[in-house]
Formats: sequence, structure tokens, C-alpha cells
Amino acid sequence: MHMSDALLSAPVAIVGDALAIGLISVAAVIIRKRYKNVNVALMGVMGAFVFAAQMINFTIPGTGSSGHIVGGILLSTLLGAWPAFITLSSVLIIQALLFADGGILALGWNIINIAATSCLVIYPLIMHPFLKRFKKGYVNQTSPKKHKYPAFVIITILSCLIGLEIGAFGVTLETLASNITTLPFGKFLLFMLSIHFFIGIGEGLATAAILLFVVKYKPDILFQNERMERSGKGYGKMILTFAILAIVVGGVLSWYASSKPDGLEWSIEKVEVSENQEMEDANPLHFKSEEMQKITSIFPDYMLNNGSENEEMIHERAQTSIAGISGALIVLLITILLAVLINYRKRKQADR
Amino acid sequence: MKNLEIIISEIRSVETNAGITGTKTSVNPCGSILISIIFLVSMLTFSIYDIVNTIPYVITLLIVLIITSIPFSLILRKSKYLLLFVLFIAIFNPIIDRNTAIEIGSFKISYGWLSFFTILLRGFVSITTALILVISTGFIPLCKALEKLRLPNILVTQLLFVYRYIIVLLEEASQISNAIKSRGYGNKKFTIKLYAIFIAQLIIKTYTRAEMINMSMISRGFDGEIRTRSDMKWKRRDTFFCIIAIVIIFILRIVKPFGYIDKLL
Amino acid sequence: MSHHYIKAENLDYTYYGGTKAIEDISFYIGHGEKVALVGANGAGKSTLLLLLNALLFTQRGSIDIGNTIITEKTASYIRRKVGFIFQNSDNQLFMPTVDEEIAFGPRNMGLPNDEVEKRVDMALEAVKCQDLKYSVTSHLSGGQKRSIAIAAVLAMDPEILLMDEPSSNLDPYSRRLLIERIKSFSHTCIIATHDLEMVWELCPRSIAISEGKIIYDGPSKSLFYDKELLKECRLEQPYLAQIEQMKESEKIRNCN
Repeated sequence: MHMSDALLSAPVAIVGDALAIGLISVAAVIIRKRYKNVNVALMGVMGAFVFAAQMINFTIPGTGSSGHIVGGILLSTLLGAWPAFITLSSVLIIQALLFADGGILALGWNIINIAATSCLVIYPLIMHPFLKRFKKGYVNQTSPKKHKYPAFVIITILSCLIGLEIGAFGVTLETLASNITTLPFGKFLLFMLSIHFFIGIGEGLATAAILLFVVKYKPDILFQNERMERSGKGYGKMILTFAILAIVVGGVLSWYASSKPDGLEWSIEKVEVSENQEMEDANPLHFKSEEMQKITSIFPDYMLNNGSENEEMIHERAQTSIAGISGALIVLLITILLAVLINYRKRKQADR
Repeated sequence: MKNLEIIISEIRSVETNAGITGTKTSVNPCGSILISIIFLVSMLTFSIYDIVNTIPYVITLLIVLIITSIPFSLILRKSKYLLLFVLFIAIFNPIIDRNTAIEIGSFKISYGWLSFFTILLRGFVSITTALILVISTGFIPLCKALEKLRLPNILVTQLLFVYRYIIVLLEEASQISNAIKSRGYGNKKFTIKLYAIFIAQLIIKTYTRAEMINMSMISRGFDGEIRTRSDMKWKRRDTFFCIIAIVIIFILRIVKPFGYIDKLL
Repeated sequence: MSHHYIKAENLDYTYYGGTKAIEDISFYIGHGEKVALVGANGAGKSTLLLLLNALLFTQRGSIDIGNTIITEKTASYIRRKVGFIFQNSDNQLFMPTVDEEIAFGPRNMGLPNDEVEKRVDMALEAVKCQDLKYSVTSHLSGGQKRSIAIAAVLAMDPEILLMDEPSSNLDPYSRRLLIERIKSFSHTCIIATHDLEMVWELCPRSIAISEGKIIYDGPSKSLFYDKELLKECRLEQPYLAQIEQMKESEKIRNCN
């Protein structure tokens, strides 16, 4: 799911953008050094391919709904981790610019949640080692091919699933750190994780099927990577980047947690009480109250301010008197009316 | 497959409107990019309950839209999905955050509702800013400006390539789709197996194409780096534009004009 | 223009996977000649063109172009002297705008900016597409793309032009424009094609390839009068040739 600027706070957005730019710069350097003949054309056209592929939906078995793949694991298998990262990032950037899918400032975290997790973390850790063995077995014909296929499918599904879940987790963390929405962290997290579970399984099955067909029709695509890539050194850099990421994210979170100690502690009791009430009233998710209490007690420090205030917080807000708000709204409405009118007139003139 | 015509016209809509805009196109895109970022960041630094000071941002954008003659329908059409998504998330604010912010007699407005509307306005501002940036600059000059701003060459090249080949790939996918449909799969559910065959075909065709493109590049002397013409100069007019923009942002963020309405009344 | 002949001797090429595309091909093409390369699909025409452009390297024998033998070291020099126009223009034009596309070659050659500009304008003039200079490549029609592809190659100022099915997928008007333009070129041209009407107009000499081997190398006219040979190449006698043949047999009968 693509983040929007509207749900991020300025510092969180900026941290994300800085991290993403950092990763991209690292990618540029690594690609130059590690890949003998970078097939710039291939990366480019595969990026366009991702767009086309995302326009086509398949029905997810068991749920009846349809979805499309994101393509992180697919791209990484075909292109290698770092080129796939650049390719997927470019797709996200173009989606933000041409299709208004996500915002400019949110690009940073979108790139990290969607591109970095699948290409730079999950693929090297889970998929790549398995692929090495799979390819060796395929080339040497040491094991009957059919035996490896179920393992291939399972590993692919696992990779897609974990990748998407980490991405979903990232989204909730960033929303939490921004302190913009009052979505309770626990509920939101569960919601995101459960939705992405099915999406992950679907994507995993689709990716596995696609790769198996590619191997069947034109196996040398899969082995082209070998000729391009040198041996798997350089993961140290990736792990380092991931570690920095983790530290920064953790740091941002703890900063927020520590900056509002009173409000949060006070809100815990409030939450536990009001959660129960809301369960009956407006909760669309229908969680059992015991489960909710368990969750709230595990994450006591992460409950968002749900309206309970102390003096500090009121000072942070601007003047919110009724006069101020209504005045502003009136000006806005007048401007909109004028703008629409002028726009309409201009359209009419242009038509003549 | 979603209607190919619609998707292609969506992509083209960003370009065809670039010709309409007047003053903005002659501005150096490096300036527009930086200004847009500062504009958005400054808006995000306001408190989430501060609807009063977010509104001037909306008004500024409406004025810019008028000046650049970008059709409103275009903005609305492109932003509807994301705004719906934001709405879905933001609606939890009024549900959960029920503390009263303002009372008019017995009518109470909660903080939740304030933040809800502010989030929506932010969503609108962020989407519209991005769209104005791309539409008035043009995607290709925008990419070149990004390179000037020190974005790695490999990413900029990537963006240009993807842009160049999106439509080609979409048409190819459409052809395969028609081939499948013409043999009776039009109404059946698109199973994963069929989908996988489709996508695998597309991948193989894409690889073949990439080979040819690679050869085309090598046959014209490609040595690993793609150099584009850099004819964007920074003119006095650009400095002028940037100064005005920064002044406006300063007024929006620091002077907070609408805060005074409260005091006036 | 200096004298760039093409001397090919005993060329062999087998693709990875075992397909033998070219077998023992030799020929000599002099400076300024316009030669057609005809043959069935898969006969080896495209492979031969790729060999001549140093995009593939022969596995036996040698290719000598203007006193330079093609090797991996001389490859970039050769590619400047020999321009290749692809069958699919979408694969040839990869830059976002036309002027960038045409400037790509000269820039890679290291030329200064004003020289690059000059070449772009000259190339556009040669194909009469000056008004397309700043167009976005993806928006061009098939015929326009073909013209721009030619311009992109011309900008490198090659001596020899290789064309792979240049008239395919063109509407009759664009095809006519293409033929007129090729007529105006003074470069050596090797055109791989099925369009025998075009060969009749442009190429006095034809080389016919079948299953990787040359089965005819001589005047196009004689090839087109030889129905058996045409059949072996899976070609059909062009209508114009039929008429010419009938006319000539009429003349002979009248003389007698």
C-alpha cells in the first residue's frame, strides 16, 4: 500500500527521503562496481514491464477477489538485488509523479517499504541462497527437477509473504511515528498484517508460477544473472545499511515516545477503558476485548494520544476558536467558487 | 486487463497539458522542484489540528492552478483514488479522538474532526503540488533537472527508459491479452496459471526487446553512461521566481495570515 | 568519402544453442554499391548484418572493411563506419525525445556540443523531418520512427548503411518516401529485404542466402528472371520483373 504525504509528519517524511536517497546512491555505486555489463536497457524495459504487469489482475484463490503483483521478488530473481531495487524504485517514482499514487515526500518510505525490503533484505536472505542451489541442481541435473519445484514454490511464497508483511509493518511504524492519525497501533498493525497475508500468498503463488514458466520456456533468462554478477560479496554493505535503517527508525520512534511521557502514560488507562466501550460502538474490526487488552498491554508505550491532553499539547496547537476556523473556511469556499468559475470560463474560451 | 486506451490517455494527459501552461514552463525545473518540496514540508510542520493554517496552502494552489491553466477535472480525476485511501484512514480520527475542541452552544466539534479535515486538505495539497510540478514542467525536463540536482545517473536513465517504454509494453500486454481472450477466456476467471503464462510471455518478449535495444545502443557507441543534453540555464527570471515563492511560503508558514482572522473577529 | 569496401571471407556463425546461422560466406562489395540481401526468414540475413556491424563476431574467417579487420578492438571504430538500421524501430529509438536520440551517437563519439547540434540538424534534413526535432519518441508514427532511426544512424556519418527490412510495416506513402531517400544516399547500402519491388528500384546487385549459404551473387535482374532460383529462396518474381521479362521476350521474338 502506498503511503501518502498527508499521513506523515515532516521529520518522519524527511528521514525516509534521506534514507531512500542514501540507498539509491549506494545502489548506483554497487551496480557500477559489481556488474560488468550493466544492461541499462534491460532494467529500463523491465521497469516498463512492471507497470504493464501491475495493470493485469488475477483472481486470488480462496478469496474471490483479484489483485496484481508488486514484483519485488520477481525482479530480484531476474535482475539481481540492486538493479531490481533501482528498477522498482523508478516504478514507484513514476507512479507518484504520473498517477498521483502516493506523494512526493512519501516516496522515501514507499521506496523503503516496497522496494528495499523485498529486493535488498528478503531476496538476499531467503531467495538468493536457495536459488543458487536450485540453479546448480538444474544445470547439473543432479536432482530430478520435479523434486525441487515444491521447495521453489514454498521459498518464493515465503519470500513474498515476509517481504510484504515487513513492508506493511513499516507503514504502520511510520504512521505511528508521525502521530497524525489516531489509529490504534495494535489494531492497525493487525489489520495491515492480515490483509497483506493474503496478498503475500497471492503474490508468492503468482511469482513462483511466473518464474517456473520462464524457466520452462527460456531457462537462460534465469541464468543470465550468473554471467553478469560476480560472487555474492558486498552483502556486508547491505546489512550495514539495514542496520542503520533499523537504528534510525528505532531512534525516531523512541524520540517520540520519550518526548511525551505524561500524555502516553495517562492515555494507557484511558485507552483500556475506552477501547472496551468502542468495541461495542464504532469498532469496525470487531476484536474481542480480551485480545485487545493483551495487545494494549504489550505495547503500552505506543498508544497514540486519543484526545487526552495536557498543557504542553494545547500550546502546540494553533488558535482553534470557532471564529478563526469559520473565517478560514469561508475564505476557502469563496476561493474555490471563484477558481471554478474562472476555470469554467477559460475552458469555454479555449473551446471557441 | 484494464482498458488500454484509458491508461495510455492517463499517461499522455500529463504531457498534453504541458503545452497549455504559460509562465511556469519557462522556469528552471530545479527551482520548481526545490520550491515544491519546501512548500510541502512547511505545510507538514503545522500541527495536525491546525486546519486554519493549512487552508492558505490550498488557496495558494488554487491560484497556481488558475495561473497555469491546468484543468481542474484532470486534478480531480487523478487524485480520487489516493484521496479515498486517505479518507479511509483519516476517518478513524473523529471516531477515536472525541475530545471537544470547540463548542457552539450545544454543538461540539471534536479534535478528531479538525484533524480529519486537515488530513484531507494535506492530501489534496500534496497530490496537487506533485501534479502541478509534473504537468507544468513535463516529465522529461523534470528528470533532467533531477540529474542536475545530483540524483544518480543510473536512476535518471532508468526513469527516462521506463517512461519511453511504458506505452510499448502496455500495447504488447494488450496484444497478448487479446490473443488469450480471442480463444474464449474472456469471461472466465483469470486464474493464476493463465496469468503466469501471460506474464512469462511478456517477460520473454521484454528480454528479447532489451537485447535489441542493447545492440542498438552498442552500435551507436554506448560506453556505459547515457549523457543527455543539459541546456537548462539558471536565468535571472528563475531567481526572481524563487524569491517570490520563498516569500509566499514564509508568509504561509511564519506569518500565518489566517491566524489573524481570529483576532479580527 | 574514402573508399570503404567490404571484403568478407569464409564467415561462420553458430548461435549459443547450436543453430548454425551462417556457413562459409564470402563476398566483396565495393564502395558506393547498393546490394540487396534476399532470402527466406531465418536464412541468415539478419545474422550477417549483425556480423558486418561488429555486434556479433565471426567464428571463422574475417571481415575487412576499408582495410580494417573486424576484431573486438576495432569494433567501436567499425560501428562508426557502418550504420545499422533495425527492423523494429521501437527497439532502435530508446531516448525520450528525437533530438536526444539523434545526438546519442555523436555524443558517444566525444564530439563537442556545437558539432553535435550540427549533426542533429543535418541528419534531420537528410530525412526531411526537421519539424520533429523536439518530439517525444513514443508519440511518433511507424513511418516517422523509421525516418528518425535512419537519421539517428546518419548522424554518426557512416560510410556504409545496413538496413534490416526497412520497408516492412510502412504504409505505401511512407514506403515511397523511404525509397526516394535511399536513392539519394551516396553511402554503400546493404539492404536485407523481402520487398523485391524495392530491390528492383534500388539495388542493381543481389546476394541470395539460403540456409546460411550464398546461392546467388550477381545482377538483381538475372536473379528475378530465374524462377527456379527464386523458388529456392522462397521468393516470388516481382510483377515488374514479370513485365520486363515478357517485354524482352517480345523484343527477341520481334527481332526474329
